[in-house]
Amino acid sequence: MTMRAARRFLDLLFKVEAAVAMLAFLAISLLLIADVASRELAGSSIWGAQRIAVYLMIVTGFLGLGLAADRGRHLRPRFADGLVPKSLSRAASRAGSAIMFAVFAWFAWLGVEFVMTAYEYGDLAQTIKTPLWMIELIVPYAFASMALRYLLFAIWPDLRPAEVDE
Amino acid sequence: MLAAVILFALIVALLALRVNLVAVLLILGAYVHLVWGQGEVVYIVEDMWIALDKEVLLSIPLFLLVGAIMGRGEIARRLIDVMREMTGALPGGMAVATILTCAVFAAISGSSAVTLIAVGSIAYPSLIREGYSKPFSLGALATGGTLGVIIPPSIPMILYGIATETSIVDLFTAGIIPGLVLVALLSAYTLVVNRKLPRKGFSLSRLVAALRAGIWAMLLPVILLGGIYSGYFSPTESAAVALGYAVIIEMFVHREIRLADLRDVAIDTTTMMGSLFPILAIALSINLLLTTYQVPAALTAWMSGMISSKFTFLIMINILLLVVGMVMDMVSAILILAPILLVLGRAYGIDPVHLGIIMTVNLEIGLLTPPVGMNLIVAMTALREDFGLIVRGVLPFIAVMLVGLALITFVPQLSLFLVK
Repeated sequence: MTMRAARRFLDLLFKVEAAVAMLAFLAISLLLIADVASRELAGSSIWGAQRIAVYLMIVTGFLGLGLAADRGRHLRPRFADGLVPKSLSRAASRAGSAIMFAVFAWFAWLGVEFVMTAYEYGDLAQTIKTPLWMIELIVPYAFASMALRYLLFAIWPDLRPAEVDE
Repeated sequence: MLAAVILFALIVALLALRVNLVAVLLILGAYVHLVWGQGEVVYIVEDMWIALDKEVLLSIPLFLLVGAIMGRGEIARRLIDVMREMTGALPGGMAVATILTCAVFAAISGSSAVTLIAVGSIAYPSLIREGYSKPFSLGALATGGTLGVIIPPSIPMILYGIATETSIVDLFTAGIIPGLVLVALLSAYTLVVNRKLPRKGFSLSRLVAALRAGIWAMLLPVILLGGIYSGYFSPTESAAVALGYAVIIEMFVHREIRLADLRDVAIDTTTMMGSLFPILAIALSINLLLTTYQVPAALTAWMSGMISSKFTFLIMINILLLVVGMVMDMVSAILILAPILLVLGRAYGIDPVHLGIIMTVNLEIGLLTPPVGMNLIVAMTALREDFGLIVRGVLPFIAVMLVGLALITFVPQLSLFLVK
């Protein structure tokens, strides 16, 4: 795999995750607005609207992990930046990417354990009673997606985006 | 003790290697579980899920979305026009109008960066054109932007409410008077500084025209906050209604936003959530762990032995938070420190709602203090001015804010008077 191919892959990953997140966002907004309207106009709330919105929000939040990494928007206290000499900052950033790959890969594995527990116990989502493990799948996916991104950033440091200040 | 020293060194080393806060917190949580707990690191993932599985959290992405839509549309310009006509008779009226616009915009957006960018991009050229000095204009805008976090709705207050299980409606209510106090102090300062500038003059017909154009924008905070304070809507429902209103106004009345813009806004908000929610989840998970091992209680006992008076404690807490605000972002500071400070504050008889307001105002000042004052960086990027010039501009405003902070800290009634 070349750096260009990795860039194309990252762009595609961003587009897919952003599209899913956007649809989830749209659904959250519509569900909540419809819920308030239904309560005011018809006198009763929409069954499960708030719950579904919460689960969609969790999915969107976890997808946002990867999207934020792609746009350099993860928060990072910078008071320790000066501890590494400027000449070594690129190497430090590369080592940081490798560490983040390892951490997120480990948590992706823990995410799998988490999902397996819900599957084995037959946990159901509150109110809507769907098998919870299906929704929880977003956890290992999001951590794996992060791990993959930081692996690529460690191999090709130029792919790691500049940090954005919020 | 050795394990704690190793942990501290590990965190500093990770930060020096440019590891982001999400990963640092995951490592911190894992370390605590492995060294002091039962080694079940999977509990972090479980606690993260529990932390996010809350209906009240739904208000955060919705408020972020409302702010982002407002930032792209025409609302800021219309609000500035209204405020400018209202303050035309005052010397330095445009500067007062800028502060007031920030305050009204803050009552819509809940975010300081959005307030600064939306108002600043329009007001800054006008301020310079009308003869205000660059440092003053930059200082007024950067400081005015911070009102976004104290005037409700406020995302930091929602986070404080979640982290400490304090009523978000009470926090929003408590923020009203402190917010107005800060607006009054900042406006008074701008009037004094600019007393020699020529007045624009007041015209009723111009004010009516500006009000006509801006009425839809002016109604938004009324709907949003009126709904919450009257108990008619929960914060989440209110955010949903505000979102629906904002989309309709910007798309069909002002005709400033298209469907493609909404897509960009949604992606932008999702990335913001991506940086915010994991930290929220992990910080809450670590706090749960610290509580299990009675760390806040031990800290309280230790602190009580050293500080006996409430007055000294309040001074200490303000100094701590001002220093934290200089080196840490607001979200992390609230999520990590609020649960611990809450327990400490209770031991000294400080109301959790009052503590939330003290914390918010301190960290609000932190938005203006180098090296990581977010509003300084946002102003530098959005207004394309030199960092040193902006820092020079905000210094007198920080002094004004510190006066406000002292009032808010030592007169708890300012925060608690409206809280039932």
